[in-house]
Amino acid sequence: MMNIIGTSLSGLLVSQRSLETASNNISNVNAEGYSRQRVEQKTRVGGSGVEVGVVTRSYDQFVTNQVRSSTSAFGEVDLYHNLASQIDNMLADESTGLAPAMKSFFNSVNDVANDPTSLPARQVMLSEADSTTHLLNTTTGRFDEIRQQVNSNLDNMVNDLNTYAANVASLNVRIVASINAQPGQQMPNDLLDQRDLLLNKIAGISDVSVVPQQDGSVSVFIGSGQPLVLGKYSSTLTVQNSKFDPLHRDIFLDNQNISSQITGGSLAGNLRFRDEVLDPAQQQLGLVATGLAIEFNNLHQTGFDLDGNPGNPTFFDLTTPSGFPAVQVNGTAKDSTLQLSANFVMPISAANLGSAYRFDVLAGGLYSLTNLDDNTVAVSGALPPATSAFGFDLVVGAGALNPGDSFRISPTANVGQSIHVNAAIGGPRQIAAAGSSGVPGDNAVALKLADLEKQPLMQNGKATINQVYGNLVADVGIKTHSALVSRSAQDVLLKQATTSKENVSGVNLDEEAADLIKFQQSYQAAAQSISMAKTLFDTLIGAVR
Amino acid sequence: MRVATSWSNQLGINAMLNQQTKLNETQLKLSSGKKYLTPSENPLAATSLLSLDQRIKENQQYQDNIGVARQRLSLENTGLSNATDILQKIRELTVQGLNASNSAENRKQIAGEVDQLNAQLLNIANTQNANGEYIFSGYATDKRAFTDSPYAYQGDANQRSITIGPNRLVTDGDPGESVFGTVSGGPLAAGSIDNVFQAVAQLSNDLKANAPATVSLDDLDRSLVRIGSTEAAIGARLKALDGQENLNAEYILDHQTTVSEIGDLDYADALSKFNSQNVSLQAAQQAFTRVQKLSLFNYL
Repeated sequence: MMNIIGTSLSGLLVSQRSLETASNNISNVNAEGYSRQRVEQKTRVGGSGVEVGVVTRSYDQFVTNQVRSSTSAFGEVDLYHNLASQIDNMLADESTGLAPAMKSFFNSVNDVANDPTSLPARQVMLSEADSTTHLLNTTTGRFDEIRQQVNSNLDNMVNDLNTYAANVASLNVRIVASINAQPGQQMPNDLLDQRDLLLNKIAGISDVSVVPQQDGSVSVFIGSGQPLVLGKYSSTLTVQNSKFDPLHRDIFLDNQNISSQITGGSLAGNLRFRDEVLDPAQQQLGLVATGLAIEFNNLHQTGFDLDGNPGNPTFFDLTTPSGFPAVQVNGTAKDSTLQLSANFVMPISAANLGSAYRFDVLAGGLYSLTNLDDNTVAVSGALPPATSAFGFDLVVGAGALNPGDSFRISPTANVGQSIHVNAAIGGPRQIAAAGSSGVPGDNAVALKLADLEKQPLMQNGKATINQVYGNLVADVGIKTHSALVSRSAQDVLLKQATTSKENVSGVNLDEEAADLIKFQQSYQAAAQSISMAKTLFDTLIGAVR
Repeated sequence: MRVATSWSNQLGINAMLNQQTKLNETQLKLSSGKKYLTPSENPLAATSLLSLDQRIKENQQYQDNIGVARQRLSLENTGLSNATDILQKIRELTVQGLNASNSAENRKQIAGEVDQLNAQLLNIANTQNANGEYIFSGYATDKRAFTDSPYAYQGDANQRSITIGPNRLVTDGDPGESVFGTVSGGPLAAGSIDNVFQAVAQLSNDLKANAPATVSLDDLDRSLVRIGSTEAAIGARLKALDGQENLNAEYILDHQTTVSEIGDLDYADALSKFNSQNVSLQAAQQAFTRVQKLSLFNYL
């Protein structure tokens, strides 16, 4: 008789526990990272009822890993596409695109050629020149804003990554302790869920490989095997300014630059966008500005203004109050004390100018300079480098160049920011439209100036100024487009992986409702058994009395 | 197979968001009339559009230039046809003055009339355009082409060019000395005077001296021929302007057609897309609410 009560009581308790678990599942139906739990019931030996084995979480290592790697891949292309679209939209817009502004400017030069003595025509040309340079300034300014956004993204992401890593390490400690407390029994399901969620968040920022250890902790590596978490220890990543260019920032781990090793997650998307889209776009826009200035100025100084004075050699001025714009220099050097910078030199012709160069130090005191626009060697020879024809002079401030040192240099990166119409061109009379002095009706130089836009002056006589801009638009467009394509692909993969994972671990309310009914019934049945045992007991007592 | 409730919920929401994005994009395209909203949608088309647009605007500028050239040449043409009339008149007066029946007094009267006409002729040579430029002064448009007493040419021998098409220039005027003859500094003898003003002035002096020379008619005839051939040249240039204008217009039209083919929205296509996307969104919304209503809890 007592046996019946004990057996029924065990059923009552197990049902209660199962109901609790079902309610817990229902409560966590929308909780991020929660894995559905179920009570494993174990028959008591000797037919004396049932007991709770362990509460397990529904979990599949394989799909969890799949979700993690898909999260990294998607995080990368998603941010890349997001940032690249900003530039894509900017270049396309009728009102912010450079092409229409430049066209209006050259049209106004044409009008001066038609009417070289007309002051209104000349005034219009000055204002059109002004708005073209302003547009170059604002577009470059927008690029700079986006660069700041990229830099603050880097800061935030690395901060998050460090916090997540520290949290994973402390969860490791708690999980190991919890497992050790009851070896081989109940797993700390909630802690495991929390850790998986954190690992997924880390994966969104950087590609990650997770290696489970015997004791229940995990080791986490990012990039090409840089340890982020080892048991209870976590590393701290830092963001540091490049030694050569304060606006260029890199990710460091133990004083080692690991930027190039990060291959997934939003961190990689950020870095790749900067190196593949933002920098080249700004450099090419600067090239457009430089080409326009050089060739326009070269022609303008051959002319004579309305007062018969020779044309000002600087119509478009590239200098800022503190001199020529800064040259972008970035790279790696063996000598850690090396200080390398470059000064802008106004090139004589735009024909061979590139938007960016690679400067390689070779063995035997030699160097080579490669134009990255067409990947041809622009100049090579014995050090010191002679690069002034390409818009810059390299200056070694301290330390020494060593074979193997390599630098990326862009003389034009900041020109879009600084170009303006020379203030010395005080008024419309100073436009040098005439080919000879003292003859106001002469339009010989104005004709040539107007014709500039059709001349293939750049990229070794292959492209007009406007075509260089067109290439920039196409380049950004193609990169944005391919980012969109891979974003859609990664989106599908991530959804598939998440669906598989959720199918295993997610809570289904109908299922839980059915469980509720099931365990409610078994609870009621067990209660009935107890009540029946009581009746039996009463009957027995009654019979004896 | 089991489905996680919150995830299936999320998938339903994602599906709706997706349809909304597509619908929004189509709506933007419909309201802007553009086939592509950003270069990334079709980078090749974007660059083609940029360069086509560039060429269209270039040709529109040529058309503007042609307008300027036409206006200048017409001004010159009008001046020269007046000059021809005046010269004809002078020639008639000369023939009249040469008649032996004239008295010295008559010839003086004729000379007075000739002087007036010569002044008119000089006025034509010093015509100014709307900008106040002297059109017969070559590049030196700020100076009168010819001065009076003594006659002197102040311009130069240059002709200003205007671009009217790709690599095609047209001159918008003629230097004064090539139209009205070179001014001579040395002693003048009727019959071999190149400059029309000097020739007419000589004629007038001879008339006043009651000794007009028949060879003066040769001077006038040479000037008439020279002005006539300049007029013919202007006519040819005006014709060239018309031809080039038609060429440019055709070019612009061709390119605009291409631009429209590449970059303009196909409204029929877009509208049918808009409708089907609309239907898809509604379907997604209805499916979502229906599925949401399904729960075993409703029956507990």
